[in-house]
Amino acid sequence: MSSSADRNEPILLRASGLAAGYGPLQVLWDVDLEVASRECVILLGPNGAGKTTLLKSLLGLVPLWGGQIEFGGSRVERLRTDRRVQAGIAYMSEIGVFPNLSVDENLRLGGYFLPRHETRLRAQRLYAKFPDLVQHRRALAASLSGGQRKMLSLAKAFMSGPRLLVMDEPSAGLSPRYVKEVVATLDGLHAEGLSMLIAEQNLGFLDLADRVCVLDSGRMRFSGDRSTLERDDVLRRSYFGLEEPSRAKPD
Amino acid sequence: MPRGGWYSVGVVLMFAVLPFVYGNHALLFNMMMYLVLAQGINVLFGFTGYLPFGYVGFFGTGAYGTSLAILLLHLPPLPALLVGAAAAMLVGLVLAPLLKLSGAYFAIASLAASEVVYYIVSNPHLTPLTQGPYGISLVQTYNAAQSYAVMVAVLALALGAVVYLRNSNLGLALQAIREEPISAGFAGINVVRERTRAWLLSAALAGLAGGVYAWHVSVFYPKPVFDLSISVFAIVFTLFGGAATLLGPVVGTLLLYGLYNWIGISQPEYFQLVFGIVIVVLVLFLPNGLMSLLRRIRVDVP
Repeated sequence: MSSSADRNEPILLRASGLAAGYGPLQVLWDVDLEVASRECVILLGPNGAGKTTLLKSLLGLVPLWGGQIEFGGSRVERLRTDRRVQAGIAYMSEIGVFPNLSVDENLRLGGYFLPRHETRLRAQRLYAKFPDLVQHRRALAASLSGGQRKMLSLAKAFMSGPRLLVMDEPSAGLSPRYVKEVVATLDGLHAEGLSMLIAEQNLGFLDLADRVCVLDSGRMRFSGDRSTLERDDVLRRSYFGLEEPSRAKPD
Repeated sequence: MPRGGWYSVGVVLMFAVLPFVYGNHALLFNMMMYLVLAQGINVLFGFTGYLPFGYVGFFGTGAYGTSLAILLLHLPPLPALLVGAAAAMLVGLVLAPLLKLSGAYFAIASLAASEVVYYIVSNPHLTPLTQGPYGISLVQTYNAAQSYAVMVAVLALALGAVVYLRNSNLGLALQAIREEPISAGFAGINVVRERTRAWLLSAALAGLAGGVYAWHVSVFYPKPVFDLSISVFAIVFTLFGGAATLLGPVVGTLLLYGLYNWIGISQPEYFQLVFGIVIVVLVLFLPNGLMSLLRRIRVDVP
């Protein structure tokens, strides 16, 4: 399973004092978040806790009201989204792919800012890693199954050669079988040294976690390892109440 | 040859040769003009999803920019055409903030903007500069054969631009923006810059078409070169054939403008009827145009 977090790894992403919202509505209140190199952080929280807003604010898709974001040692909170992606943050939204473009075109877009030969090389490597996609290269992404589409959006996020992969609910709309497949793929990538920040409600993803953060009503309530979280009665009831961990865990 | 390249060469050669065997040069010239405008609409709507009802504003600006460069700066027609295209792009640049709007709001705002340009150009107070409502006369540079040849070149340019977009990363990025502008941003695409490029390219094509038109007809009033029906024709031709393809707007223009010339001038009431039915059928059954029929049977349309 997941490699254990090495506390000596340098911090890759450091967000501090983040405040953000929509119009008059404040969604994030003074949120701190760190992701170290090679670390996988799972962000838990009920619906409406601000998980998506937090991820989007890291990418510049939601304007920040306050706070700062450091990535790889330099400040990025003023950069445009495409610049942050070029700096090495990849974002996989719930939609993830362009449905009316082919699988090949989706991958090419993932590496949009790379030189052409580099794009081709990386696409080949990714096709080796995601064999399911090869036979659908020319098919429209819309024609793929939910699981294949998820794999495509993962492969697409990978084209840019990210150091940090930020994912919003990768389990959304997937059958339990595919959830297992996605978790296994992510586990492989994690083992190769990729940092990940995953917002999830599906507890199957907890197996990947080096660290778990819990966001509630726009505030960070907890940050620590999984066993501490599971020992904490209040947290357990608030966040695992909807779904029994034993049932959601892939076996 | 890139995908669609040979088709483009074929279309351009056809219009280069046809005047020697077919007498109605005005029809050929206008058809080329609409082919250019339809591809200009295609660049913007097909690839980025913005539908500019005020597209004719760029056409009129090109016509006036070219004419005024000839009349006031005493330039020969060819450099004057570049002035016309630059004028259209300048208007495009000023109007670029409209791209923040979407859907119908953009369509209406672009229409309003083209009206604004029309009312500025035709304002009687500007008669010393633009001849105001009295129109332009370029009789001293009139040359039907040369202006026809230049329109062939502009047509080649327009088709070449779409062939490029069909095959390049820029074209792909624009389609991504059309699909999902936010996702395009986190694919590493500079959304504002790329869609502004498409907008300016589209404006330049209309500006060139307008400039060559002005030179070709050499006498015109402001109203006809800012006429909304020019936008509507170009849009319908593009949609009828199929946007975001090279061949769609070509086929759409050849068929519908051909139809217009066949019955539209002699029996306009029948043409309106047929045109209306065609649009309704299109919207109901073929929202992606004729080319989507071919795609359904898995033909790769350039």
